[in-house]
Amino acid sequence: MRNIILITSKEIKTYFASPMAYIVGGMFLGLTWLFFNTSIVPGESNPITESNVRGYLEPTTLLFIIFSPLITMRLFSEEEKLGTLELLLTSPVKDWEIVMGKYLASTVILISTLLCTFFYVILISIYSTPDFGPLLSAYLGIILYGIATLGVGVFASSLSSNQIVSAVVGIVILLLLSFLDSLGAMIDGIPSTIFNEIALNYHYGDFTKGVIDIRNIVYYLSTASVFLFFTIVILQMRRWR
Amino acid sequence: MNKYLDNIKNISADVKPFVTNLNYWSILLLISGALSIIFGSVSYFLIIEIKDFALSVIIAGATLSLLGILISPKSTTLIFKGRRGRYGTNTLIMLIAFISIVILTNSFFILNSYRLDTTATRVFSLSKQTKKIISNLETPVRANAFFVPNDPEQEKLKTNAEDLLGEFAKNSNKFSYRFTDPQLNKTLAIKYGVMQYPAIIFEDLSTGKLQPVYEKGFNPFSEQDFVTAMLISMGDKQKVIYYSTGHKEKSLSRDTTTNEISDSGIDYFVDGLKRDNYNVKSINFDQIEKIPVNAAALIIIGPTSALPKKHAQILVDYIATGGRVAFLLDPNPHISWNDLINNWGIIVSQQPVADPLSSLAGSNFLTPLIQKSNNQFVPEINLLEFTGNDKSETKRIQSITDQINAVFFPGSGAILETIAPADRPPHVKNIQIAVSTGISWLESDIENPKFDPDTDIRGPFSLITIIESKGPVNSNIPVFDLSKMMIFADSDFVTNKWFYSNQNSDIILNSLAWLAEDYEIISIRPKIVPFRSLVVNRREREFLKWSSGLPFILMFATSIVVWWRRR
Repeated sequence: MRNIILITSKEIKTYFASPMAYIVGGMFLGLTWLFFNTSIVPGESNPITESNVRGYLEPTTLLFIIFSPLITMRLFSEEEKLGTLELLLTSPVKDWEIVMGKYLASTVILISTLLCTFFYVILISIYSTPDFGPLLSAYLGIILYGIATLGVGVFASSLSSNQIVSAVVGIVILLLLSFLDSLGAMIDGIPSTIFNEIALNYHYGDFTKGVIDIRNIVYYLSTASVFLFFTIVILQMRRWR
Repeated sequence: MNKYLDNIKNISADVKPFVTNLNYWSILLLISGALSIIFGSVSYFLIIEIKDFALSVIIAGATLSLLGILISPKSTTLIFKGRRGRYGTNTLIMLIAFISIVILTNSFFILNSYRLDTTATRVFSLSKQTKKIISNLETPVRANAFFVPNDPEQEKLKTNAEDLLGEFAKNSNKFSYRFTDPQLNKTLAIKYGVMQYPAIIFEDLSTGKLQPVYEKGFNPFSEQDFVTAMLISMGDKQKVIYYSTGHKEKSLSRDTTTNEISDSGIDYFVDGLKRDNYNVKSINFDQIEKIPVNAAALIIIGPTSALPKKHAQILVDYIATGGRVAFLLDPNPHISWNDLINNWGIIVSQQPVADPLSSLAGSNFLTPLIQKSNNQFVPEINLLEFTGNDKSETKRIQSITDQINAVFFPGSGAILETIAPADRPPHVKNIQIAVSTGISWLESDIENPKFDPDTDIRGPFSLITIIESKGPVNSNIPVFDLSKMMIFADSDFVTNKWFYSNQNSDIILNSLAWLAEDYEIISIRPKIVPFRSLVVNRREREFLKWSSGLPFILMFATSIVVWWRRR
């Protein structure tokens, strides 16, 4: 556990020491600001809007397809490019501790960026009385969604020494996972159910409505754990390949 | 041409060593066999419908693996015994084990899911009864929803319909739904006879029977709308409820040309009954000899003229055969109506009830408000006594008022007992369902309501009473089949003006469902879906617009500071 904490804190420090972190975070918040303004803030055409977070958190899931791989792309790719990955793998730290340490760091970064959007909730609460149940469940959902996308991002980062390639691979996997439910909607029967159950977006809708379903929580945690396991396997394969 | 032939020859030369190499075939067969076994096993445990197919895939996989071993036992040994082979096999086993655990865990939670509805009014929790109906579906049912995308007015209804249909689908694998743009897919819209949108057509896929649900003035779709449509599409027989005409009762008021309704009509009430899956018909006693045998219940809503003897006899005959009647009588009804119900030892008062403690504001105390918080609904202990400790019947009667927090009765009278409880024969039982408060009274001067101890009678009074009888009170022995009646001392609360106020609609529809013995419907009343609006003035809007950019600005400013420091 100590090793995980050490790796996590080292990664967080490295991340926040770079202006890139703030630029990525800034872009994320800039876009959520746009979503908030178009969906929640009453305008000339829609003088009365509903005081919930559904309007800006739903499109935020799309942002994760790009932002999660951007956050995680350097985790293993950079280590491999600089040649420090060999050092890390030969140090007295287990492979899963390395993966978990780096993954937790990216999770902390993502959640801290996401929590900045809670400022919008404060603004909404000043001028109306939102239903806090769906509001909190939507945030729980987006955090779980983020956790799953970060798992994919970490895995993609372990595949290549080139950060751009890692990010692109991560984005492609996430795009596939996100829109499988659209494919599921085009067909009937069991294949449709399977596509829906695998799709990232399919499990998010309930959270924004205010429904916390244990199936969805298990799905996101499973997705993250499967890709983290793949990452561990990739690291282990380096030893004997 | 020669170039192509050379190319083909080269390719053949490259491939030949593989094709002729038994080791290659052995490895290929082993890999295909292993993959087939994995795929087959996962399908076998997860998809019951293709169990047989999955089993054949497993067998085929095992055969392929065995064939691979037999073709070249040496290469098989090498795969498992070589350094890379050993590590590779270990990794493969670990991967298979891990993925199997993940799939099994997910499957377990899919089959044993737990859902927590965090909305304030539990909007997304289907009633127990709906869940029961959906999970017991015998034939597949599909909801075909027709909405025009990007239409702002339809968008909200679409979200509402999608949420509800999603909840339905989560409770049964026999229920499915699909959304179609009727403008884009006109053929499908025509096939389902959709002429106006939005519309949702419920379809029993085994019989092809359809039942549409159309939007009503852009009101959200309700769970009840869908359950009713689903039941009808599945061939559920509709019960018939009759409402009487010919005694100047309240009636339908919709103008067929303008579609407008009047406050005094009962259009919303009739629509509510139809939503509860009843076939609602009017009945004029002058045209009949007896109440039709298919009547699940009969309603008499605020008659103001006399009840002719012949009509009274028709009613008595109906009640004698186990009839179910709801009398909604306003104070001071024509004496002939009181004479009729006096057969069961009750009458409706001539004066209205004034209740200063619990009445609608601005009504001069003359609109009694019945509230759960005031304990104005019948307590369970009284019901148990009424039903002779029959707990299931107690629960059924209780379900009429269980979910009701407040209802009001504009200008309601009181139901008075004309026979002392001790003198009441055992085959006539009555119970007060809703009562006014203890300080209410019967007011003689409605212009200036004020309690006068000399002329006014002090409450509490029953405003709703249930009677179960096997004969009139003047008979010493039971002479009828068991009949059930509900007497309301007001009829205004079901008119268009008041029907959707508070929970007036729920109490009357629940009562009818109890009379018609449709206890399931009672628990599927539409839920309140609050729209929590964000309304701001221009100054506040500008503040919201720009202040919400604060996190972005701060983050961007920090990036400049960090860059400046590291420069």
